[in-house]
Amino acid sequence: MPNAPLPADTAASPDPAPPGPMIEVAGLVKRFGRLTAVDQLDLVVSAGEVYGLLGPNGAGKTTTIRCLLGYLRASAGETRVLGGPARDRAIRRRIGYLPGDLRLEGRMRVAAILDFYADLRGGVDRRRIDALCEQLQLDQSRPFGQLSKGNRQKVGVVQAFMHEPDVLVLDEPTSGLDPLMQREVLGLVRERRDAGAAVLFSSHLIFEVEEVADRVGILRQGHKVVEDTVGGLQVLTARQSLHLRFTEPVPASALAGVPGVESVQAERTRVAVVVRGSVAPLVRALAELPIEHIAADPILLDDLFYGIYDGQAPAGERPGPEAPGGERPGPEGAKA
Amino acid sequence: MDGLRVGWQVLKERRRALLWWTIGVALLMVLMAAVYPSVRDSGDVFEEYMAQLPEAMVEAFGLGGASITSPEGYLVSQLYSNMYVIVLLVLGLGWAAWAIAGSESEGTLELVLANPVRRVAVALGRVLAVAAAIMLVNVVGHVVLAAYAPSVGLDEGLPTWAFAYAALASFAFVAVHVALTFAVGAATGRKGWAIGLGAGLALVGFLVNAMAGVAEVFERFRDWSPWYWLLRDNPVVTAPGWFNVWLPLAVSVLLVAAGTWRFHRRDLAG
Repeated sequence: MPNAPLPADTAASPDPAPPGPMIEVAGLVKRFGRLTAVDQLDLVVSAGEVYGLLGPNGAGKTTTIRCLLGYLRASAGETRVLGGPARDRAIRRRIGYLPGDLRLEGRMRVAAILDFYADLRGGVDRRRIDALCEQLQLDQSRPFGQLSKGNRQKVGVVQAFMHEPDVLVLDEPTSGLDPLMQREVLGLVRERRDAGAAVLFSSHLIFEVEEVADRVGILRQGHKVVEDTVGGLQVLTARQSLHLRFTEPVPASALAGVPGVESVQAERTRVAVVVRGSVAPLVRALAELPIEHIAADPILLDDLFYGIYDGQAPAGERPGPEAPGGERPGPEGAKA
Repeated sequence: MDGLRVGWQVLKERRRALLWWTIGVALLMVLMAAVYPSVRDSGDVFEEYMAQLPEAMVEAFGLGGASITSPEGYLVSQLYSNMYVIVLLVLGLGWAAWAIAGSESEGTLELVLANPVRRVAVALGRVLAVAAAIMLVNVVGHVVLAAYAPSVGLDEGLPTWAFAYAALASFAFVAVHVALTFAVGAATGRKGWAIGLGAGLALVGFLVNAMAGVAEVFERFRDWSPWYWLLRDNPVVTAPGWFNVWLPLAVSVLLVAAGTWRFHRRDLAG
């Protein structure tokens, strides 16, 4: 009964989900030769919860997910889904998975691919598949190989959600999707969460995790560096990077003393500022200056790491590329 | 059941390629049969030519004393000791290397395994699909050959089931190489190694069998060559027996089992 609403399904199931966490990673270590991709990772996702796994590329997100799904054997520690190993077929039946880099047979039409996966799952209501495809505006009559990256990703989304799984494991689910579709997919995630599913969601986009996750864990070089509720994370991200353009040159010193301004880099009429907390004092100060244009950077993971490691990690330890061309000054910029 | 579903999907995905392989092999059979009358009628010229060839080359033709102008001599020397089985090998090794290793490295295996199917079922289902594909091309080719042969006298003096014998022996020969290729791919996830070892076995086996009559070094290893299993007794006139059919099939089953066992236990490449 893959299409029954989840609460009823759980109640009627002869093998109800064991009490306790739906996804459990305990002391997970995964080594590839001398490289330790994941080191002593613990995380738990409960029913009705979306857990955002955040981290730059190579942080160990995908390795964690692949261990969790039983593609990789843990070097140490344990992973459990619905109380058991994910390679158990009865458990796998209740998992939906979307890989980070979706590859499918290019010559097959989308409808035939989805039918195949529906068959492997023991049958999925065709109307459910059609409804999902319609919602995501996915044309099922085209061969997979001819689809754009975004449309391919939609095929992955449909196969992950079509059997209304109790556990969803999504590796960068919105990659390649336009903002509108991104929103649709995040809506689907919320829908499953509200139906009681546990969702593990990896991403390197902070805004996306903020929007949908209940709790967030941040991975870096295989370690979990922070775990918090999204509310807690917002404190860390309350740092903004603004690009200002003036009609005439403005010295850095004009803004350096403004409350909240952490760093200023001025180059004639262009000034880059990093602000912690409210921008109100800065806006008031700018009103007195010949300001012409203001642009804000989206908050990037690197900024978040700067926030976490602020004053702790040596500069060389910091992740991610250096701010390109000095356009986005880190906290090392001209200190206010 | 799930395994069969996975195997059937492979055949569906590759139905167009399979169609072309079948047509190509059928055409090869027609061509080979069509040339036969001119070979037979030229008679002595071919015999003299064969007599001049180095012994290893003659050995490689698998004639075993038969005349090259006789139907069984012509068929084994032109088809079963080289061209025909090599064509089937090309088809079989390509598909077998893809079955696990190829689809693993292109990334399509991962999503199949996210479904409630056992790895063992996926592996066996796919190897069955490869076997079915080879069998299809092989059977259609031989049906076409059997239908065409009487019109050119290529069935004279052959047993009633000559072409069925040859089809089975060819399949068993290809199966060994396919099984090795599949097993290496399933065990390691490396498509290059899989094809390399499968093709390597075919090449080394061919040389050992051809050189056995010439150099004693090779004679000792001849029993290990699948080419010898196929050609020791002319496949066209030899009913399926343990040496030409059951031995290679048993070896194939063992190889597939070993590769699948390892695949069940190892990490998937990312």
